[in-house]
Amino acid sequence: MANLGLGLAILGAALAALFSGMGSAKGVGIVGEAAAGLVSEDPSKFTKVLILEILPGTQGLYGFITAIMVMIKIKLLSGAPVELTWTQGLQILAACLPMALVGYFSAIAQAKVAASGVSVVAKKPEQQSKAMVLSAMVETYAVLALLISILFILRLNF
Amino acid sequence: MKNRDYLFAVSAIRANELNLLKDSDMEQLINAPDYKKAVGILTEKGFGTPQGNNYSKMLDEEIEKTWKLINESAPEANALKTFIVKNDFQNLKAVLKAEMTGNEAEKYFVAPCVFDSEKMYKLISERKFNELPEFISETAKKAYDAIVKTGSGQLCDIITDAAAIEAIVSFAKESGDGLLIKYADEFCLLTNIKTALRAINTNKNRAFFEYAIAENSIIDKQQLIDGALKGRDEFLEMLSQKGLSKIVQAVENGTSAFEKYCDDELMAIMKKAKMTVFGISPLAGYFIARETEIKCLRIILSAKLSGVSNDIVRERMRELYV
Repeated sequence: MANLGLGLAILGAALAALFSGMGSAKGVGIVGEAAAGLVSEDPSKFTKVLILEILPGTQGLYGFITAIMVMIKIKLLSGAPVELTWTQGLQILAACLPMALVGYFSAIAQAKVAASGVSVVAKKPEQQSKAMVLSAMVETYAVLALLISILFILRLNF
Repeated sequence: MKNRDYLFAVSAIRANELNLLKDSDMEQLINAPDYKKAVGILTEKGFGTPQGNNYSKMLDEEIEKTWKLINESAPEANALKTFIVKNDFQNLKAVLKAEMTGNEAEKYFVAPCVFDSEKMYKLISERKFNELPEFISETAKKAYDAIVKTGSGQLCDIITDAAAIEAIVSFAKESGDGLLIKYADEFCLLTNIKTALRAINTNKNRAFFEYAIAENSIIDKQQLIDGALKGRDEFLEMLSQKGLSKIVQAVENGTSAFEKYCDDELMAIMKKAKMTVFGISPLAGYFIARETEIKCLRIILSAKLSGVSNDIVRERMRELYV
């Protein structure tokens, strides 16, 4: 059962990185398409839309951080992982779920707002900061999910 | 197509919306002392230069440029056929009349269109109606038979005009876009009312109405025909009872006011596309915006040439998209 515990913990880390990464890839792609349309007509707005395109990419980073935290916790990076019971493994898996799920959905939701922001930049470039703020609001929930996942991981005692 | 597939095109179009003429630009053009100065202002704003007094070709090219831009940006512009399919029916009329009179049809062809007009000409010349696209083949045959049997160009026109409206509605429904469907239904209703009013004024019979009025989801075709056959006042009364008193008011203000009302109503629908980011409606909105802009420019330039007063031109200006 010791191997099952470790396996569940690794699954948790993998899910956090996987779902957040998928969400970000999809999100950055969505905004990228919108941004490319604008740049094709007005290349001078490239920098302004690049910032919007980056925004849904942060969830991927948060998923990566969560996965690294798990790997540190179970001492996987040192090459001598701790022995975990299946319940301990399950606890780590559960701790990773907020980041995995919120990361995926928030990245796509944020991308939709950022893609709409590209239209704002197209018509009123001076209002770019407002488009960014609107999109950044979605980020709040990804950050909260990251905090919860990390707090869970750090507070688990074994 | 998914709504997100149009993201590239929508952003490209948003960038181009900045170049649309605004009310202040139209006012500047109206206030231009003469035709030459008005053309000069347009050239400064990126329009082509007309050859002498023939501004029509230059404006037609602007519409073609708009269509090309949309077509190149969108992954597929099928849904936008709603806005250009009327040109196919215009070309059909040109071909049928050319067939009857022996004149050239090419100089009357309008672009952009869904089906290649030269190909249409060839197929109709060879009487291969079945090889025409589905949306026009039956109408082509019907209109051809009408013109051959009766020799009436008018009958041919009303058959093609009604079929054009039905094709617009059909393409809009095919697109599945709510805004396009609403636009097409409203366009159909307003065109039906315009046609009915003209027919009432010229005392046309039921057979004429049956040919000329298109099927519509807002007011049933038969109901509209029955109302129209009772006379103008009864017809307007029927529209009021249907909650269309704004239309009745516009009709009573005269033909030009009614024409303006129709265009403004349709523009009011399309303006909602300005708030949309996903889907095809922003592209449709831009196309309608350009069409309306060109319509206003035609009014201004023709007024400059004919010496119509600025006040009358202002009255006829349409609601712009931006």
